[in-house]
Amino acid sequence: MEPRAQKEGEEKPLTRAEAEKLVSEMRDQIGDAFKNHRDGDAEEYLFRELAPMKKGARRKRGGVGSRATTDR
Amino acid sequence: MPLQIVDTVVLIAALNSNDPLCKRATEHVVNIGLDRDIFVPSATLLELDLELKAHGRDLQGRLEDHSRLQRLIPSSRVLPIAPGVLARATELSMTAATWRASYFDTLIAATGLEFGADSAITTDRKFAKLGIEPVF
Repeated sequence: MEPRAQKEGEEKPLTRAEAEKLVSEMRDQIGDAFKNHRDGDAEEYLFRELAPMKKGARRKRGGVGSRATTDR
Repeated sequence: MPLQIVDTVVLIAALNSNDPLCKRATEHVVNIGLDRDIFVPSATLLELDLELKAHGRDLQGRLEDHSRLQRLIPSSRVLPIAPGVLARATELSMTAATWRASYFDTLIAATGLEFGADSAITTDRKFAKLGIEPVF
């Protein structure tokens, strides 16, 4: 089967101008989201999401951590 | 030319027009698809996704962001979080990493070490302590 990436032309090299345009479009879309960015935001977010699991709380089916086991 | 890896701060700076290093960071991001020696650790992409979530980017927005990144960063330039990377990261946590070296920094540096990078494109000087020369 043909890999999905090849079907969609992912590996087709971009020109510098095309790549710059893509970054510019992303910047426009994201806007001020990173205005107050601090180093460690991602880690803080991740551990905040995982915190209830640390305490042993049961997560509802489909929630974070529900795929960490094959016991269904 | 020696292999280089890209840290998450570079992607974030390129996407933040308020960042004074935005222009230079954009050059680095553009070069990922043009320069055969620049690679992106999977941990960098995972950290970026969490940054987007942490800063309120909704699902549709993240879908659009990652679709564009998919074109900017071909799969052939992405380095996996292989077991060897996790072993290296654990080793770094035992020896070189401090509480100031985050989980993601350690994974990114470990990816570089495992795949033979000699430098990381980053403004984060902590990478030197993790065994990878920071360059920007």
